[in-house]
Amino acid sequence: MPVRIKVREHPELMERFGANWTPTILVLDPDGVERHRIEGFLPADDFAAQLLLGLGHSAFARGDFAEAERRFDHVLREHAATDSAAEAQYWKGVARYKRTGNAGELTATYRAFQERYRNTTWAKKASVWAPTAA
Amino acid sequence: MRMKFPDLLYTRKGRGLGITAAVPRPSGTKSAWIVHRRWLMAIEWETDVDAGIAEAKASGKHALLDFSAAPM
Repeated sequence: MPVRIKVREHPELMERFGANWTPTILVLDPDGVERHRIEGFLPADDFAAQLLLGLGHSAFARGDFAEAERRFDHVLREHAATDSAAEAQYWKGVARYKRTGNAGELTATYRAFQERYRNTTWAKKASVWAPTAA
Repeated sequence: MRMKFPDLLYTRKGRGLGITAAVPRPSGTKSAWIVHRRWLMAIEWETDVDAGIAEAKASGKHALLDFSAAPM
């Protein structure tokens, strides 16, 4: 449901939703809860990836981990060159772990970061999932 | 045709920012999206925030709130 807010006509809505800059895009779940926020202009490919991340986070929040994994995987497959891809790789691993209960999925995600998106904040976050020496 | 989130793609148009519609490309092609600029004017924007959120809730859909200062 696309809702356009002309901030010059409705500045009070900026405060209501905590928007301090334009453009700001909010992804709200069907209950009206904010699940993702995009601030500032993004090129089309990056923006599409961010929208998918938003849907992934929304699915994750409602406990639909299979759907979340699908959304994050979509980012990895179709928007691999965007800044969102590393975040998607991280959350895809978390969603798989939550879906399966298999901690090996987190280790696999750590290993995936050794292959792609190594120099990112998300790789640092995944570094705690490195396998320990026997 | 009424375009709904997530079939939306934010892109630059002219001086300001515009939202144009996009759909997945047919399988077998490299890029994920084809921008359909001809659909730009087909997007029916809800301008009442509470009405938009209520409609999203009623239909079980997500809502995309676009705070913009740029004219379309």
